[in-house]
Amino acid sequence: MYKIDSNGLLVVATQTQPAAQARVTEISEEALLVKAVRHGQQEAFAKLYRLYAPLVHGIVLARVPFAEVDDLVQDVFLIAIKKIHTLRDDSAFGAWVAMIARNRAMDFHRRKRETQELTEDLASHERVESDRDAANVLEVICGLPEAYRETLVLRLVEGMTGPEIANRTGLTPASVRVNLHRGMKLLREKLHLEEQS
Amino acid sequence: MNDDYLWDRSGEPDPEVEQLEQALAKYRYQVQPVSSALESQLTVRRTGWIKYAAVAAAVLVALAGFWLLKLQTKPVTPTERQANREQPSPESPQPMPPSDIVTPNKSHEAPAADSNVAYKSPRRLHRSAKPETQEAEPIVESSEVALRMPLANPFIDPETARHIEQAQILLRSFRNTRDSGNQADPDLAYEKRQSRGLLSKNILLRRDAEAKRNMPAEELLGSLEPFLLDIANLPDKPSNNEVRAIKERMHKKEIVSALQVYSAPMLSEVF
Repeated sequence: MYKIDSNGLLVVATQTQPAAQARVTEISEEALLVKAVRHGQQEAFAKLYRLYAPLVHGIVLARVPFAEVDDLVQDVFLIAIKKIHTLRDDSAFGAWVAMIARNRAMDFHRRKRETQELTEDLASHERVESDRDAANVLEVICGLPEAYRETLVLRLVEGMTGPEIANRTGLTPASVRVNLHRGMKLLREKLHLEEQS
Repeated sequence: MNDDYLWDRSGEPDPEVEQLEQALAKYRYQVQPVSSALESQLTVRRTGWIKYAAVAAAVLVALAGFWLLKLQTKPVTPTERQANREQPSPESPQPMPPSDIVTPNKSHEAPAADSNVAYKSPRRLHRSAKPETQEAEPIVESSEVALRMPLANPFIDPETARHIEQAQILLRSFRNTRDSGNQADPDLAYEKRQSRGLLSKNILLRRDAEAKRNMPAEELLGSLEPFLLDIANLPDKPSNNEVRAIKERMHKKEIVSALQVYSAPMLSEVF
């Protein structure tokens, strides 16, 4: 059904006709929402926000501490509104906002390094309060290669299915499936190693 | 192992994946309302668009106004002008005179030539002007000729050129009044009336030149104004000394020559 090429960690695939048609319907709805947001319609923005907030949340969570995620999600959407006029293809909003989220997370780490704001004490304190197992698992996921950790967070934390992840991020379903499979395999190995140790 | 459950939650559930989902659910995105900062940003975008539209509309209105103004000042054809002469408008606009100046008698005032004058050769002008009064004829004729060369003097617009010519003729007339020795009754009634009319127009034209930042025209009209004022405010029976003082100032300032410089190319067309 899919023709798959492997290029390092990223997997590229081409789709057959029926799957492409199904995606076009979704994309057109997304494009309509983006167009409405361009004209300042608040309802459209609220809908777009509800649709893409889990994606942005997952992408940011895969990169920054949980306590910072909510603020960064707001920041990402603020940047998206300000720069929405630069988005050429309305149907590519998902991929575009995902890119903004990744950049914003990178900025966060850059600034943290410059200002030394987040201390180890704060992070460890939060960890004590929260469920230790869940925190450990999340930590292990965040230690995986970038392509896997993002897909795994979206699947295991945000509860999105593979096709949903593909639709929102603009990746092909085959790429997402491979990333999920390989990522899960790596995660299992690391968790078993931790248990043994 | 079949990873259908991992892919789209179909098939037999994978207990390990289910366990991970349950454990990590606490980190899941909790639905939150759109923050006020985001909403205000959206409102700014909307009002910004309205602001741009308002500015665009204002520019369009200004352009339309400018275009209409240009249409109004468009030169009329000789036939249209001839028709206007035969049926003169009774409501020709007159400039407001200053408060210290008496409104001039219209019978002696130079007729206000319409600003929409097209080119005519001097001969044809002479023929067409025959039915009009003899006093007004030379002034109208020369000013019309002045319009033939609007590019000869780029600082002076046609209306100002016509005004300068009228002022020049008035000052020449005043300068050539016969000196009546010690007797104090030179007849300057006509010059005074003419000067009042020209003074009010001079003020308007000078302000116009000032607004347009036309420095040469502003300077010329500014230097002309004191002489027009002096002549207009002469007493009914001025003494020779008063008249001579004005003449001396005219000579000293060389105002007639200055006016002549500006109207020289125009007059050269007449002769």
